[in-house]
Amino acid sequence: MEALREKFFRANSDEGASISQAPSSKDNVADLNLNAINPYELGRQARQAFNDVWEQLSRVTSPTRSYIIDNVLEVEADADFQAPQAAYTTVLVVGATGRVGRILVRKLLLRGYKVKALFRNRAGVSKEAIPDSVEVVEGDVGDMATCQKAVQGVSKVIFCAAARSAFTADLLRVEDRGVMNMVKAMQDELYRRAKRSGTKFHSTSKKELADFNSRFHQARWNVTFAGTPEDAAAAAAEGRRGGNLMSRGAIAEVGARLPPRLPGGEHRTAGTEGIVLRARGDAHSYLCILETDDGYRYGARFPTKEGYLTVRLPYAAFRSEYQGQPPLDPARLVGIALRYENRRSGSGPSAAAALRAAKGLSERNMDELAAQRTRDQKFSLEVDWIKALPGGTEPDFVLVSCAGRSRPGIDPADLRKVIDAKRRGEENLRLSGLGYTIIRPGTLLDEPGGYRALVFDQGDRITESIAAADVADICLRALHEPEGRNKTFDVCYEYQVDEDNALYELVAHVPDKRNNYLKAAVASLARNT
Amino acid sequence: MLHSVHSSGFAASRSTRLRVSANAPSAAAATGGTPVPKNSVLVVGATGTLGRQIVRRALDDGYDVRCLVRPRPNPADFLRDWGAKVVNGDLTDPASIPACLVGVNTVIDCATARPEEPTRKVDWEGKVALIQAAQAMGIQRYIFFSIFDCDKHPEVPLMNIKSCTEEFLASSGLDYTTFRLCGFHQAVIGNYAVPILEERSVWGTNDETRTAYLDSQDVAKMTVAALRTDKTSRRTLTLSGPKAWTTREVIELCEKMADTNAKVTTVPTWLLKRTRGVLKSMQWAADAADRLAFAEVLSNNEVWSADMTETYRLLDMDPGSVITLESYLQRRASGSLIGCGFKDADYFSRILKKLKEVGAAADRTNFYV
Repeated sequence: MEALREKFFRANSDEGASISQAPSSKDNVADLNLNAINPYELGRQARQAFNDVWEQLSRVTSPTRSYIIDNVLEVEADADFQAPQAAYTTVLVVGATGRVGRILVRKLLLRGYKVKALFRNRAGVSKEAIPDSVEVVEGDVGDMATCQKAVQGVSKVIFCAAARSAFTADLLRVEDRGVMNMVKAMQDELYRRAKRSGTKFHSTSKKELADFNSRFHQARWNVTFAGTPEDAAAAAAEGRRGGNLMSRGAIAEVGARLPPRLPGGEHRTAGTEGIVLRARGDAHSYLCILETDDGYRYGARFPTKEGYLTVRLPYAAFRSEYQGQPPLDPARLVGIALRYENRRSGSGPSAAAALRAAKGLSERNMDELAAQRTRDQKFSLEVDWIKALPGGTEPDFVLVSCAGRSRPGIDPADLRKVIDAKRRGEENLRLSGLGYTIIRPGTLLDEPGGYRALVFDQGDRITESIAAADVADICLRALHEPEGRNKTFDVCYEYQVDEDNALYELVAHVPDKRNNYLKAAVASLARNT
Repeated sequence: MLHSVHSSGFAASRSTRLRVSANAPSAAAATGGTPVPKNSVLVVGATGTLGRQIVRRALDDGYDVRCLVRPRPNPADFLRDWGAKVVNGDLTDPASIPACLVGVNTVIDCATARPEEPTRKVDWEGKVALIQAAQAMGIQRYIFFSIFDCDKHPEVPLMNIKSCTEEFLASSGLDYTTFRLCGFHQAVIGNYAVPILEERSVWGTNDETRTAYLDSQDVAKMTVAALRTDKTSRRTLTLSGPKAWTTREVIELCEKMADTNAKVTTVPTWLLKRTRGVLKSMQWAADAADRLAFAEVLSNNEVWSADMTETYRLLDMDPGSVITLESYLQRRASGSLIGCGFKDADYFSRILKKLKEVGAAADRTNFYV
């Protein structure tokens, strides 16, 4: 066979020039003669030639199988498994032993994220359940030191842990305090990272607007407006705004002007998306007024309760004072104020009688009404601090909560407790200033995901269940979804709405791997919920 | 009970069909025992081209995937890195199989013998042992991969074995689905693209056999889709690609992508048949002769393609979502967005480098002499 001979002689010489070509130099001839008589060399070359020929022959006869390529072919980048941001993102998964957490860890690893997992008991989990490439932190989520250790080096957190039992202590520890600890640790970590990278204030920390622990702010905040002159003015000592408003429609307002730049030189309110303040209220509702440099004022009303509370006011909640005002531009804020309006009507006997008749009250309750009226005239709001919430593109913290449907393994009696604890955890996350996405799935099923269409909704209306794998997929996509930032939504399988309750239509989305269904689904939901 | 044909002489056993049968499992084996979670899957042959794609897809869809892998000094870590569980076992050692099937609901079998291994031991005896173990352990679902038209070519040993395994599986009483494959895109890379890149001569045949290549990722997608529906149970489905190619067309396509002219050496089919005849007459070269057995099929100039509309409907898949050979090679070729030819792509330089490393080791393991 020509080919065989060619191969044989080609393998023989060093340079690959065949014998049948132009005569080689003296050295080559000498080398060739020596090699020609070395039996080992001859044998090796013969085998090489046979190898090549044989390889080609078998390739020809099995064109659809390629043996060697199996070892060599690296796993190709599947378009479905590509996440371009994965290369530099470290994700901490809290609750990696749970149903959602397990699948989530695998999905993250498949796409190339660096994964860190928090386990309570590393030894209790079998060796194969956790791949070696996952960094493990041991400890409980209710312990602050563990949380701080866990968030080191992490850029995003997915919290899908839940209390294993319905004991109040457990619930408090995991759902309430656990989320709080994680959130605080995450904020600290982001701040530390910003300091290391040189900027003084990280873009995810809240900007200070007023801190009433310092005299500076106490001195600057003054009564800007007090309704009619005969009222007692509010005292501004210790950040307390309190006083008496006697007449109807009186307004008391206390505020300050904000210098646009923070001491570090950064602009104070540009790029922020809301106000958060901590205060001790008295069950009245107050208004927070913002003023921009072109004189426009915007107000947002917020209720308070007896006791300390944190209030989050996104800019979207601020209404303009007059119609035709441009929307609130946080970069142009110059003033902030808190106002109390005495809005209840005056004491006309006819009004009281009408009220009494409407409610069917007895004589005794007339005194109550009178007491109520005096109560309205007194107000007292102790404010600790006011800060501006930072804006951002992607959520930093994804929380998997629950939709409020019953779960197997939980008593219906305990269900209320569980839901309350989870809602408290959600509230902690919202008030923190991190970009969040809160997912409230229906009852979790142990099915493979990705097949049935999903429904995204807001408002506690869903009734169906959902596969844990689907929830994991949503968490994964929410990590980099700007549309999902600062949104809370429920999700479950598609279902038919009852005929009588057909006030709203449900749009279902198929969780296909290729398209970004989350963006379309979540874009229509309300923000800052 | 299972009958196996004893070899009464090498030549004779290779041409006779093996007679097989199996009893359906008794009711006692199916009922009773601990319930098994419905999303646990065992993948046999998880390190192969198809197996790893199936493992990836199943993991992403939320299954608990277990991989049956042979114990190796340097184990394949990528499976574990993805989060699949790896269990050690060997198809040639039937005693090691039942332990791996504990707690498993579905078995996906995409294993086949390597070229250096005896085909009969792995593909026949090993598979029979696996199916029998699955019967005994009450596996709920069994997926098997076979070759297109394997029942029409009993003279090719591998196809003979595959068709006998199909029959055995069908008579075993398991809830099975058999997929018959035509060919993978990945094979095109190994057989044609790499030699063209290395500027070696590509050997092709002058026959007109057309093969409809399919991407292993798409096969993995179809497999995982088949798991969730009952419509494919106890059926044999053929999976073929959107277009059927001859060897010459494939080489032309690779030449176009690489912007070079390949040195094609055409091997006539009669040469292959004669070589095979020569090798068959020698007992030690019997396995080598088996590899060349496919030459008989090539001369028939068949079309290896099947109508897929029914399959797509059963699996609830969109026919347009399947990757074609051109787009597959294009994607591999254009590592950068500019879409320059093969030579500038990272992907191929990595493959070539690895081939050199592996090729040096493979020389030692070539078995024929």
